[in-house]
Amino acid sequence: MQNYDQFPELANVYLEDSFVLDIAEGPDSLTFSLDVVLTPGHPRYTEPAPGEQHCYLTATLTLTGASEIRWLRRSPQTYRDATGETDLGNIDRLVLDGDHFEVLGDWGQVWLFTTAAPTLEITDGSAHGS
Amino acid sequence: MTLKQGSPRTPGSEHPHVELRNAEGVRIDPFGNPVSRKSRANHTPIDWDE
Repeated sequence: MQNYDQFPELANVYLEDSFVLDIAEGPDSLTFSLDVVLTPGHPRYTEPAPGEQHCYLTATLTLTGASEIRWLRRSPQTYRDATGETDLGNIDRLVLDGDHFEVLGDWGQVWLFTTAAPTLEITDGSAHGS
Repeated sequence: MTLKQGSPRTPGSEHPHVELRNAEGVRIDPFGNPVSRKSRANHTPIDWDE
């Protein structure tokens, strides 16, 4: 079993406190839009903005090349914060388990049958993404 | 409520903590006040009984 932080593009992010904003499913891919938490080893890392817990940037996390996408659970629940922004929760688990990735969070649990390394694209041009 | 194990490689989340939501799905602090998701108030540390 290989945890997400062992993949180069995810070595310096912390998904358990990152927020899922949207999930887009393609024929062989799954893309998560995130407010992603960067850890100090990431080249885009800065000190957290005043009052914020982490360095957050908007990003997309993509798993691709799947021969099958199998949803084990899916939740329509959304969460709202004091500013009115909504999210779908966090990514609490992302591991490569043999021939598939397992991704799990408040929004659901899904297996993607691929071994292609996940990719992360930072889409936020600002320092903190707020 | 979601329990978080924490990670030593993430400053601010080295230790177990929780995120709280009320029945309406609004993110709250331990006193029930709405909080922004990125704020420190949305990351409540767990105090273990001695």
